[in-house]
Amino acid sequence: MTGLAAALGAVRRRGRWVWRRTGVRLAAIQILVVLIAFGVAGMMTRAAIRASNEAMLRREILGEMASLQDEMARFGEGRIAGTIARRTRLWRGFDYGLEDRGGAVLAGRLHPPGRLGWMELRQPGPDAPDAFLIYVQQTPRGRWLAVGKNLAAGRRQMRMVTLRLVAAAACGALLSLAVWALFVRSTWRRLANIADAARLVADGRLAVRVAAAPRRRPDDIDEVGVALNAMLDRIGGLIGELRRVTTDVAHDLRTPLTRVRQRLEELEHAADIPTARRQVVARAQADLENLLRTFDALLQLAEIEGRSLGDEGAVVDLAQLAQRLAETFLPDVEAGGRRLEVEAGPALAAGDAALIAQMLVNLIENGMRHTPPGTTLRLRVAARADGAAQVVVADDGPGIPPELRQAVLTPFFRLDQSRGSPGSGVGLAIVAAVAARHGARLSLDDNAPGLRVTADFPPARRAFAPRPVRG
Amino acid sequence: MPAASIAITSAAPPPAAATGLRLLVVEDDAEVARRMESSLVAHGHQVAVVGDGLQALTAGSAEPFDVLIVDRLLPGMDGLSVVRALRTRGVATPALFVTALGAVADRVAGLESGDDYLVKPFAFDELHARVRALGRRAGDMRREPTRLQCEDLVMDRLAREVRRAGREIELLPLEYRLLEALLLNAGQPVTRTMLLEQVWGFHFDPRTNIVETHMSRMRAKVETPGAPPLIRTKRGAGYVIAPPPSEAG
Repeated sequence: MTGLAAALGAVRRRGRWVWRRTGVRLAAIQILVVLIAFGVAGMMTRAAIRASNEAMLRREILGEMASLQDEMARFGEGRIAGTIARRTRLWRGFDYGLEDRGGAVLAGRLHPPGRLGWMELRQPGPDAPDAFLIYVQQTPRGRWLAVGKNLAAGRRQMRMVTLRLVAAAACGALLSLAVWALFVRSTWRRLANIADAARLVADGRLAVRVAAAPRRRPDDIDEVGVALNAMLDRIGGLIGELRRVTTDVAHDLRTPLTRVRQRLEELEHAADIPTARRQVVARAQADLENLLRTFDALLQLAEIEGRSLGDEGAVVDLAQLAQRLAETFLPDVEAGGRRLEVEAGPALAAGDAALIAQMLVNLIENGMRHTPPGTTLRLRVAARADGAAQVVVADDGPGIPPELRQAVLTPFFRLDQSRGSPGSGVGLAIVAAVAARHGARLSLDDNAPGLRVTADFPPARRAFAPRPVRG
Repeated sequence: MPAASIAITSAAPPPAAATGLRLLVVEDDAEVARRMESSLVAHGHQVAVVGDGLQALTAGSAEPFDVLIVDRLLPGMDGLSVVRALRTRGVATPALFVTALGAVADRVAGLESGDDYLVKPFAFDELHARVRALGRRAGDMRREPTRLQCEDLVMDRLAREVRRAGREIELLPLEYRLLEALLLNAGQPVTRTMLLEQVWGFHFDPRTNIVETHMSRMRAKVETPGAPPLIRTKRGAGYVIAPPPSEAG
């Protein structure tokens, strides 16, 4: 039962998904318009044909009636029954009825119902009931004379007209479908291409471009693609420029810094320096080390954020990595009076092993620095139901207030606001950059008590599936 | 500028017991090049300095060197392509790339096995340690030693066994790899950064004392209490495993 419900739900969901496609909606609207147009045209045609047919019938019937009256006027009423019989026998398309006042049939097969003027008459025919349009008059002797025509022929004609109209409507709808299949589907595919390309770029593959086939006369969709490509080129140019500036700055700063460092080392090793001066040199060296560390961290952050994903496609065994890191950090964590619990189930992620290692190291070190002794750090690596890897680093320390959880991911943001605390101030920013770089969703939550950082990696399978990279 | 010609400076009396290496420094900044040269010479190496890629190609293919020290950002050229060009000429000398780029991609991109990199600005101790390691590795390139030894401390790399005076020592995997990194460079300092790279694969500096912690645990297992230590800490330079001074020489 639940299975059936689930299947129905899936169909409904899929239905909604299809309905969200603009192309499908356009096709449906187009077909509806075609059908309504044919319906209206059909009804108007039928009404016009019916009106013109009836007018013609009436003229013919009146003509026949006039001819019979003329007979009566010329040869007397006595011979009219004979005339009707003869005309019926010769069959000119008319039916007649002549009855006396008592209703006794004198000639013909119509039975006028005792009223004068135009009317529609139904009476049993040889196999099916017949319908007639008749005109009834009274002769000078008071007998009922009816002249009429069978309506069946007209009705048959009308049915045929209707049939043709329905066929034409069906053809129109089919034609609409065909046009949709040819045109809208290709449009749909091209829009999907653009959406795919945009999604890949959003995932960090900045080199991807929309495939724009060169056309003599580009249409609006081509223009969307071209505009998107132009935008991506511009963004790519800006990123390239930024990277070039970063490299230049790095080079321009590092060479003088190298000299400063070398001069300080020269001083340090010089024999003729008093001890007090030597301490000044040592402090200058320590300051320089700190400066360089921050400098390195910033450059690395820029590099992780700037480089596009996709150049490395290695599978990273997160369980093994977690075990290795546990082995590495356990002594230091325990020396600080904290505990480290590791739970490593099999989990794979696609990406750069060194960067993922750094992300975890930064998280573990963050837990070591910002919690009091006695805190338990937990590192958990596991595969979720869909096969995607999930990494959790949690502690039961003081945690981070909810309103600051995003802020701590920005460079140089410090919770305690004291610049004196160790660390470059970009540790968590690098964590965020590495996560973004691997398409992993990073969330900071309340561990009640403490902080829980979760990185949800995309399924490794999907990341490795051959993707249409264009450009 | 001293870099204009190939100047082979003859070795001053070597401060270390190790024999000097023949080094080619390719560096366009004259002052940095001069300081590197004098520091390397002071460590007993023979140093040739050139200022650009073209001279490096000429010098590198004309004379045998033990190690090339190549700046990545040379005027109009990438130091990496200079080394590649030399390799195509059959020069297999290992290279130490000096890079100001500092980016992970650039650090790892040009490295073949046997090459190494150094990020500007570097400490001279780091430079010396890496040059020594490269020079030694170049000599050992053909045979990967299966047995490493320092005095009565023996590491059997096939059995993954460590014995001190015949007694087997139980080491954790990280401790084993630390000791291995030291033994592979026995007699020469191995810096903290080199250990982070070789043992942990970390190309960044963790803020915690993982190297020190694991080193002290490993030393506690390896050293004999009361006896002079085999593994010594060299301030600022890292760690070195060598026979105790009294027995050396």
